Amino acid sequence: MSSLSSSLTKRRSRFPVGLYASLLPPLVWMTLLYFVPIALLVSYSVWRLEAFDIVQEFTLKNFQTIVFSSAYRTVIVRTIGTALGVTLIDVAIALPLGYFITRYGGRYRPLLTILVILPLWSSYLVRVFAWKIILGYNGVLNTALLSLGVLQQPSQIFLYNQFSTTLTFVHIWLPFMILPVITAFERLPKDLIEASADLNAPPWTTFRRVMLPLVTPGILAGSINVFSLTMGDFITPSLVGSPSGIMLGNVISSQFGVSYNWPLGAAFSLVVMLIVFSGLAIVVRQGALENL
Amino acid sequence: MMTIADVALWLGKDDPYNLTDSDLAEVKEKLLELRPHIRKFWTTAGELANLFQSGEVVLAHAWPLTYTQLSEAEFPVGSVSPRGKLTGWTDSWMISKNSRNADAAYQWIDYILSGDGQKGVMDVTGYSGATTLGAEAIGSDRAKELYMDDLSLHSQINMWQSVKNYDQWVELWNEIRS
Amino acid sequence: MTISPSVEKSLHPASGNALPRQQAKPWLLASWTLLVYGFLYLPIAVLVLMSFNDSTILSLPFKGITLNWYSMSLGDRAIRLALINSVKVAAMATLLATLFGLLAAFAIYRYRFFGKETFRIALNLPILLPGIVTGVAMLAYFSDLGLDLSLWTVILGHAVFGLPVALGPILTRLSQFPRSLEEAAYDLGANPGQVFTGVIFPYIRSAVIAGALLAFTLSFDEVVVTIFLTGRENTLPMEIWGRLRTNITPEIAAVATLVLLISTAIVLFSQWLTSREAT
Repeated sequence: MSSLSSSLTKRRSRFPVGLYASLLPPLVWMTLLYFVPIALLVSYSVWRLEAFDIVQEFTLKNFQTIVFSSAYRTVIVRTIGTALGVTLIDVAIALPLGYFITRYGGRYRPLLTILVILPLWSSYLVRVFAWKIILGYNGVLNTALLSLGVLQQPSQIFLYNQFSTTLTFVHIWLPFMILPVITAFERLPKDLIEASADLNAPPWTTFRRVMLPLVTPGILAGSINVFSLTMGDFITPSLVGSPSGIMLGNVISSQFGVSYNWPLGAAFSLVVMLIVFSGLAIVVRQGALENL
Repeated sequence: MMTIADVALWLGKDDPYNLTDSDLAEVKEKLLELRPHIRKFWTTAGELANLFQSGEVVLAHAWPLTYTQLSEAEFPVGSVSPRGKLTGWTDSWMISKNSRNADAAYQWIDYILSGDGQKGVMDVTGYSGATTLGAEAIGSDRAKELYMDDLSLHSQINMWQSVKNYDQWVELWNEIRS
Repeated sequence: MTISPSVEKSLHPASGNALPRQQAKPWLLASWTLLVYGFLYLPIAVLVLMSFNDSTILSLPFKGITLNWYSMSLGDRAIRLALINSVKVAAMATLLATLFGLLAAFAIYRYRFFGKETFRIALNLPILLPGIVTGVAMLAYFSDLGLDLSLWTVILGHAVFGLPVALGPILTRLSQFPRSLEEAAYDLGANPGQVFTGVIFPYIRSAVIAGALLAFTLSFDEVVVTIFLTGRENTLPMEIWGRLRTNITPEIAAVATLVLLISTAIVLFSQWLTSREAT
């Protein structure tokens, strides 16, 4: 407010009706519908289930269960590993693409951007299922390899393993990486690149020393998207994942479903939140906050 | 989860729903031994039918429903059931204690238990029923298909019971899946 | 939402600042781009192909072309009801999300208050944290309140993650707003309400539309939050989820193709509208 002119400063002394009118509704709304539920989830995580009843007494039992079970530790490590892997692959795919679109896209740039978003309009579930049709035993890939004579008989190695899970995730979340990366490239001041070229910097050096640091916020913003989306998903592992490859999302959804142990499920949710927050902390420290 | 009970039965345990820690350890060992041969843990009948039809699996531990579905789709399939080592469960209707209209709920349950009601459930779900009224309503041919021609079979089924150490079951199952 | 600014930008071809074109032909980059688009569209091509497959299962082999799955899906009552529910849910959730998002954006842009940065990050939590967290937290909350799950609980869930989605582009656009315009309006004697509707809103209108469109899209196809909050009535993704578990036929592929076609038409139409507006 202080940056505004005198005609506005006069209003400062009065009760800031505008502030309350614009701040309170969203604040109250989100508090009642999101912050309180999250707080409730946190309190569930320190309650326990006894004979199918939820006992509201403080206990760390759920977290002990998680920490001391080798199976759950495996699931946590696998989930983080998958999420990191998917994020890195998506960065590697999106960077050259974003660079190309902003630099050489010309008047086709809006169209190319729309083409990235368009897949989001076809059902997410069906897109995941499509990978089953592509990678399966009688799938598109096997059929192609058979007709090319690469394989003599269909192979089972493409589906229901870590590979198919990772590939599907990389595909499903790719638009959420490409878009912030494109935005970041669009924001690059063009004279900077020209200056670098004028100083006889080779293109690679210009990219690495000038552009990369400037598009890093976009990369980090996209990374947080992809990482978080992968951390919580249970559809992809259950449709195309390995029979012994469940992720944290599967565990949580089963605790809130068939296993009916909400306190344990809440504790797992808290683990997911903590992991995402750690990732977020890194992003915030890199100063990518403005892009969130 | 039912798979745990099935393996326990197969290992010769008398009561598959009352397993000690060492029983569970045996079950786990057996399941881990079998795991390399497993392509997919199916969760619904539709998924399993698709797995067969798309060539992903050739053998499955399944419900009679899948056999019926696949035969109807003219998919070449056969089925065997282990004598005396059957597990099963029943879907139940329950009245919530907060029910606003318990009388209507009782009437509904009466209807579901009638021949018509049972036939309706079986037609929609493809599951088999457990009452003579239901068996009569669907006719003897269909009853044979659904293993309802001799209802004494039900006494041989180890019906699902709530398990005391359910947490351990869940954990065991997650170990197999992780 | 990080993806929002580019969406907004893409709707404003005029505002683009193209980097200088270079003479060297970037063959490598161009082929990479082509490959990536191929990768993005491969599953969609497969599902479109499958929707014409004259076979009862959603899988290869391809047994000939049929339009049966399309006629079946058009006559499918459950699909139609689910589609209507999805439109209702998405419209309602988008309305709520955009309204509260707009207010929040205005508060952040216009005022200084204690904990502003925290407020901004907190509002973004529903899209920073995985959807499953939102889903189970709201499920536990509604169950503790004794609220029955219905389309309304789904709408509330979607409105929650829709808020930051709508907030993103609006805030980006507001931050570019030249304050001198606002000053001028006040100097000419306008009251705050007039300034907002007459000066600020026209400036951010396209961003509001972009944010609302994005919120609508994400709500329309949402699965993870919806699974936990859904009652007896299905949205379209829930109906598809149900069918993937019971009876997997190419009809699902036909439904997905139809939805894609319709939404592509809507997107291109809105793109055309805004580009016309910009010139």
